[in-house]
Amino acid sequence: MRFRRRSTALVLSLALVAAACGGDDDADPAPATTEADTPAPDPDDGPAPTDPDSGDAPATTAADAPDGDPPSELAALCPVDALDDADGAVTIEFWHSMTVELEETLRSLVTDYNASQDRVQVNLVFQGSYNESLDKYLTALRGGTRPNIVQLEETALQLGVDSDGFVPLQACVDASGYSFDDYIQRTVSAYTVDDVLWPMPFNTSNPILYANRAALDAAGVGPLPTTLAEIRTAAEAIVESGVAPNGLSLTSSSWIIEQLFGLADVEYVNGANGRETRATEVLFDSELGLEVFTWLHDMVNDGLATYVGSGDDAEHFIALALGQAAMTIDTTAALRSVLIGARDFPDVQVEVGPMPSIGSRDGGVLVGGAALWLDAETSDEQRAAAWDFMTWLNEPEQQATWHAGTGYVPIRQSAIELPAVTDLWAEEPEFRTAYDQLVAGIESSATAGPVIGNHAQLRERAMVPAFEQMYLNAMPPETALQQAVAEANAVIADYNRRTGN
Amino acid sequence: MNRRPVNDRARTRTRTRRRWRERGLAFTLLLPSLLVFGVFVFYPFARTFWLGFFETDPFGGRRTFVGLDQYTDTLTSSSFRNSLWVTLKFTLLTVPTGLALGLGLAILAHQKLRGMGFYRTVFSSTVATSVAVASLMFISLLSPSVGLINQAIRWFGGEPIFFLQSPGWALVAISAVTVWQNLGIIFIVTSAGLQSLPDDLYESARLDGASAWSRFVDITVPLLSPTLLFGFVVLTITSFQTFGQVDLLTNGGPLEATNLIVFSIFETAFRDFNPGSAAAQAVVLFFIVLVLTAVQFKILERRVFYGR
Repeated sequence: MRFRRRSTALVLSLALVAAACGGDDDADPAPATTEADTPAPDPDDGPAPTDPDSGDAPATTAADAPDGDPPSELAALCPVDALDDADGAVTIEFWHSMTVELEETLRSLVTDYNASQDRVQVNLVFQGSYNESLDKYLTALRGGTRPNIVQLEETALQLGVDSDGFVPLQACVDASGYSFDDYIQRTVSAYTVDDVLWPMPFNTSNPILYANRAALDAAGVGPLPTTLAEIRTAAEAIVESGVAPNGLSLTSSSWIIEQLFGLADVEYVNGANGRETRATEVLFDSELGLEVFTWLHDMVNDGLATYVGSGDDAEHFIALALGQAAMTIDTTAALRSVLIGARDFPDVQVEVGPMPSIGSRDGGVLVGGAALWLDAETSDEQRAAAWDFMTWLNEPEQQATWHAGTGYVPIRQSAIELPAVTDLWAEEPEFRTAYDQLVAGIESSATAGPVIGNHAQLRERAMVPAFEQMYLNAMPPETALQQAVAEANAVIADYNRRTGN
Repeated sequence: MNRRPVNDRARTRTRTRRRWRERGLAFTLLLPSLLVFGVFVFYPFARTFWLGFFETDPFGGRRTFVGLDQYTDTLTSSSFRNSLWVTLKFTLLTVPTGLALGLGLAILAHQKLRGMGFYRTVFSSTVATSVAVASLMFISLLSPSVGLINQAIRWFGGEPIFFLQSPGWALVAISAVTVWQNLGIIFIVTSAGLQSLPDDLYESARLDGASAWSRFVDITVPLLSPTLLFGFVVLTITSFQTFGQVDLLTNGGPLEATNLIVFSIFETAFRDFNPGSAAAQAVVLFFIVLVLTAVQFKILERRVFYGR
């Protein structure tokens, strides 16, 4: 593998060069979304805002939302009755990024769906991490086989809207008169930009505090901390008592930091968190931002927290299991896996609590996780089939199964009255933490979460390096914050310029 | 007086014709490889160069001509220069170590002892290991909490070392994976080289009373120099192309300490979704490797002994 003769090496370096251009072999700067073979109107023609009052098309939906189109035109993009005319079963391909317990649960749900009716056949295809799946989808946009449904992380919202690759699901909602009354409203608002719902909310998460109760007891820590200050106090007790060398194991996740702003009901980027107009700069260059950065800096540099890297390798949980730390913060979607993993460690007693706040809980945790996007290069029958599948997947029964199998929040209010959920909550009350804190939050632009072009990149290029400078090089929080702000604004400006906004 | 020029002219004509015919034949014979190279090498290369002139949106739809901007941005960006510097350090860490260890193993295995075939198989086995497997093995060695090395350190009462999470260690860790991976090929190549060395030279050297060290320095190394040059150039080029270990072990971090140049190109193309800038970086990398290889050959070829 590693052995290459010189000429081969040259060939390979050039192939790499070719790969670097993303394999787009089409010299024309043609728009990626021409669905010449699709009878339905092209989404390029513009998803119209459903509310005629918002005809002054704020910049968020950008070029794709021309003013004043009647809602009926949007509905035409999603002929929900087309399944009735289909000959035989309609096959749709679904790209997902779920692993281990999450994948097993999703797979069994899809099998149930396929068995429950004979009009639609869903083929589930694992496409790697959210990032990898997005890479593949964007590459496919430039000429490749596209799926019908793709599961994209919440950070891909602006990219998805800008890509011209998707049918906004508002079309299907308008066409079918679908009601979101039973949904936790905030899961719908999170994926709504400029009054148009883009993807279907599905796997919804938020971060919770994971702790080892046995270690907390040994250190004399009472109830779980609910604020950053309380975490610090608990961590001091743990370290001083010698129960564990660190109180907290800390990843470089900036999702958790964004959640702190949501909890405090403070917007993260301008343009009403990018939901009214396109975001052009971050708003955490503030006292609140400095408070958060200072807390992070001090926790690590005072020896109260151990920095374990990205957390992709679950090193922060392993640290808990092995007694290196007693608390960590991560998504509720890890709950099922953590509880299963903890069985092997008799000294560990998993306790979970709500996401700690900076102090204020005026807002609420953000809707994390991922949503299901409907690809625009999809025939009428397939659009109808995809809509049928997505609405089935979000029915209370399925949401209850999904919740119990994974730890994701059930997004239907009535799901929590079903025996699958009530029994689970009675037996494992850990599972209701994320639900409770999600419904406790208010509706506001801050709690809807930031919409940022290339949001994932902002985290990688701006936030992670600033955190690591503080953790590894003891950079003062003021400097790290300034660096993060400058880098973040540069990432946003670069994206907006390249997309012509 | 008259004939000669006529004859000459006729001869010249035949010669020209023959030359053309030969050229035609040569071209026909070269055509298949020219086609392959054209489609898979020259065209993508030219296109990459061309793409570097355009600023591109993440969806491949919008392109704006920006001239040489992305090339100058690449050359002046501190991140790209950091990647070059990291790649250089990585090359210095991996190439000499890989060559020395591979050669050492080859010399150890170059003895007629029972069971040597087994060792040869073991030593060359890393050739058959993929980057992914090697990286996973090293994760299980280096992980701060469950890694074998850190368990040993803890057992002896020490503090665990965050090999992949600390800027000081991460590049060393990546280099260790790479050296381990390269061992197999260097072992095979130098073993083959050793087999071809004439025994009589060693015999007469021994008769002259040359020590083992002097036999190694004065006979083995000079005679093996073409093989060593080959290994040196190949390892250098592959070190400039290293990607898998970084992607799997450190993602270029922490703090860009392992952000090797190809990984940086990948990040620009598939994380920033910025194909234009990535193309510019790739072209710059191409010229760097080109110059480096040319220099290696120019300087080192003079010292290489290709036989009588």
